[in-house]
This record gives sequence, C-alpha cells and structure tokens, in this order.
Amino acid sequence: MTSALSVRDMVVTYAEFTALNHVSLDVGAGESFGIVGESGSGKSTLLRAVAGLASFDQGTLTVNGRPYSGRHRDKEFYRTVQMVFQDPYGSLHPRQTVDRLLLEPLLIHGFDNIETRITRALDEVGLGAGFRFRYSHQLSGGQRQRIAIARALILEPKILLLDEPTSALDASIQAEILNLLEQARRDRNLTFVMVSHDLGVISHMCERLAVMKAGEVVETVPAMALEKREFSAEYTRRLLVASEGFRRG
Amino acid sequence: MTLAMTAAPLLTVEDLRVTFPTRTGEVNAVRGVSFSLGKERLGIVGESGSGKSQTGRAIMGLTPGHAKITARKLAFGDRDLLSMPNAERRALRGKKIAMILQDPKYSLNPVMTIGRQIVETLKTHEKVSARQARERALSMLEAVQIRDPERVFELYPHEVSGGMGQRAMIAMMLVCGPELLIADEPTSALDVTVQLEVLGILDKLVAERGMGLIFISHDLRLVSSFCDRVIVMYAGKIVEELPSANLASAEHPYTRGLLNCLPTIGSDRHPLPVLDRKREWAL
Repeated sequence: MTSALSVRDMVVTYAEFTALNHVSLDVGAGESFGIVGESGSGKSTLLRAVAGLASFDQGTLTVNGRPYSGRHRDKEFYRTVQMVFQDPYGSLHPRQTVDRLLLEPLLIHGFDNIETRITRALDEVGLGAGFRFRYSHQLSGGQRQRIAIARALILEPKILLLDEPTSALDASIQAEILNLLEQARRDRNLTFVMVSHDLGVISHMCERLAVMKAGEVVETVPAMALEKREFSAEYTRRLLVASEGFRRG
Repeated sequence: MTLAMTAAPLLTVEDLRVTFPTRTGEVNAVRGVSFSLGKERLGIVGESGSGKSQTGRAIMGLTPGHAKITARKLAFGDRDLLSMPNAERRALRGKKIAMILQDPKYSLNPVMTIGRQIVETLKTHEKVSARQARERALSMLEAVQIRDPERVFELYPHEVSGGMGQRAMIAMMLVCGPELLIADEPTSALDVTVQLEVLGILDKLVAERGMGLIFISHDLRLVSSFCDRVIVMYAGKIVEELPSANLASAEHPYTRGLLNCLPTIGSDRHPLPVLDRKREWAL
C-alpha cells in the first residue's frame, strides 16, 4: 500500500503549550483513517497542521510523495487535500450564496466547465439546483454540511480531512451525512482522515484508527480490534466504556 | 427505583402549547403535550426543533415574553403555574424547580466566582448568614465530587474545565434542595469520558435527595439508560411514551428510526439506515 499521507515526528507548540508531541502516522492511498480522543488531545490540531492552518515546528509531512513544511501550502496541495469542518454554521460564509461558495474554489484553481461542475456538485450531495442561490442561513444544519462537502469535493481532491463532520448534527442527519461520505469515497476512491470523539462513528467509517491523548498517539489499531477488544492502552478502554453509555451502579 | 405516584403528582402538564409569532405566521413549537411526573426520572427525547427544550422551559417559566403559552393545566403540585403572579413564580424557580443547562461556558455568570454564584442562589431563597451560606456552598461542591472545594469556590467559570463547570452548575441548582430538576442536555457539551462521571454524580444526588427529574436529550440510548420512563417528541408532539426497559419494543417508526440510525461498534451496516420522515407523524 502506497502512502498517501505521512506524518513523522510532528511537533506543534502554542507559546509554552505543546499541542502535538512527536506524532507520526501513515495513511495509505484509498484508506479511511480515524483519529479519536478527547478535547485537547490534539486530534484537531493534527488535521489543521496537515492542512496548513496551524504551522508545525518540527517533523516532516509528505503528501502524495511531496514534502511540505511549516505552514506554506501551494495550490497543488489544496487540489489534492480538502477539509470539511465541524460546525456547518461557522464554516460557510454568511453573505455568500451557495453558488458563490462553490464558485470560489473553481476560480482560484482555474477550472473550466464551471456551470456543469456546480450543478454536478450539488446533485452529488443530494441537494439539486433549487439550493444554488440560497444563503447558508436558509439551510438546515445537515444541508449546510452537504454544501461544505460539495465545496470540498468540487476540486476533485484525493484526500479529504474530516474534522468531526457530524458531531453538530442530529443522529438521523448524521446517518445521512456518513452515508454520503462513504458513497463519495467509493465513487472517487478517496482517502479519508477523520477526526471524531465518537468511537461508534470512527469504527463505522474507518479501517484503522489512532487514539490520541495529551498531544500524543497512544496507539494505532485496526477498527476490528475495538470489536474484539484487542487493544492495549487503558485510555482506549476508557473511551470504549464511555461510548457504551451510562450504567447505573 | 420506584414508579409510585403520590396522590397529587409533582407536576401535571395537560395540553401544553407554546407558540411563537413570527413575520411569516405562527410557529407552533409545542403542540399539545401532556404528561404527569412523580418522584421519578422522566426522559424527553427528540431531535432539534422537536419542542423538547421549549417544553422544559415552559415548565421552568423561561419562555421568551413574546411567545404564547396555553395549557389546560400546568401545575406544580396543586399550584397552577400559569396563573401564578411573577413574584411567586420567581420564588419557585431555583428553590423548588431547578434547571441545569447544556453548556457551563455560557450559562454560568462569567464575572462572578463559582462560590459567589452558589451563595447568591442560597441567599435569594433562604435567610442564611454569610458564613452558613459559604459552608453550605462548600459542602455542595464536595457533594458533586469536586476534590478541592475551597479552591474552586474562588475560581471564575473560565478557569475551570467543562466537566468541573457542569458540576458547579449541578451544585448551584441542588443547593436549595429542589423538588423538581429539569436537566436540558446536561452532558452534551462535555467529553465522552467526563460525561459518565457527571451523569454518575447527577444520578446519585437525584436518588439520595429524592426529587423528580426531567432529563431532556437528543440521545435516546443515553436517556433510556438514565431514566425510568421516556417520552419521544416529534414536531412538537409526543409520538410515543414507554418505560425505558421496553425501548426495544418501541412501536413508532420514528423511535425505531432513531434507535437504528446510530453507528455502533461491531455492527457492520453500510449504508446506515436513515429516517424516512412520514408526513403523518407531524399531524
């Protein structure tokens, strides 16, 4: 399996605080890789450092065989890697219509056939042309997240970084979005790196996962291991117990 | 765990309706909800917009002023909540009926120390000396398993973690010994591992101090593991009511849909079943 994304000894610090402490991981091409942990464990920081939204001080990042450093990312990088954020209320420009939101990445990257691409992108996320000239406040949370996914997919990336894409949504809407993401991954042979605090979601969507705590990767296991309880870290066990819900006594 | 009802139930809700007038017509957030509550744990489940939170807020008396509330009966014990003067309602709120909100980051006063906020609650409702109030606040903080109550007493909400903040909120709400506690998504803003601790504390205190609990959440499984009885709401109405133990035998397709759509470890279902919302559910 060739590696689509490789992180070696990545360190991210904010002033005195070490958010990522020598984190390494490899994600194969076409693989779906999950990252779980509590808030403050560094899982979102890791995605943001990969995407160039946070700069890393040490370590290396290789995407599709090309090395990247610190914070600078070229256009080629964003053609390959796109990101979907947690909060669909905060991640869409409030004064741009859906049309404008989808147009911008196409213009930046000099795509042709803009008209067909926008219609196709809307169709693909199950919204249709009727949503094209709406503002984001005229959409529900689930519809917004569909737009965010359409915006990421419209550049035909190879790798999708998903930062808690469904944690702000109702359970029934979550199921729809997860199905949509799986469908897109199958159709386009995408590589996923998905961050979530929900072990159920990660084990449903991913083949392998890394468990993070306090800025470090505690362990990396296949998703099957959760079911068979073949993991070693005490912290993984605690997360698993928590995911099973409240028990009295 | 007792389901026994006393002669007059703690809370009676009959045909409760909450309506918000808007420019484009009326929005009916709650459309005829009825239930009664004894000293038991009742869960209200539904998705965003189902009216579950507005039901809780109407009981607490926190509905915005421009909204219209009607009910055939909305009574706390034998006292009618809707016809009660505001002053009486205020005396009730925080003393006999208390409410825990979702996110301690937004619902605690950011410019008051945690201790002062708890003391404020006490002094509003009871005649206590400053020293007594402080002592009771400290023992309440201890009861919610805060290890160093003296230190936390002096801290501001932004100086504590989410889990700690939520414990402080529970302490504040229980310090006057309410008879009815409404918890609106009390752990949704917390980390999964912290959620269980906070739920454990809440569960213990509710059991020890004997009060009625209304637990409002979007998480059907969580609610059913925590409560004796569950009400499922959809589009402002109750679509199903059942004992938590019988969750598996839920009949309404909405309840079943909510149970089925969650991805769980070890269940290999691709694609996940999604809810097929039927128009008649909302009628």
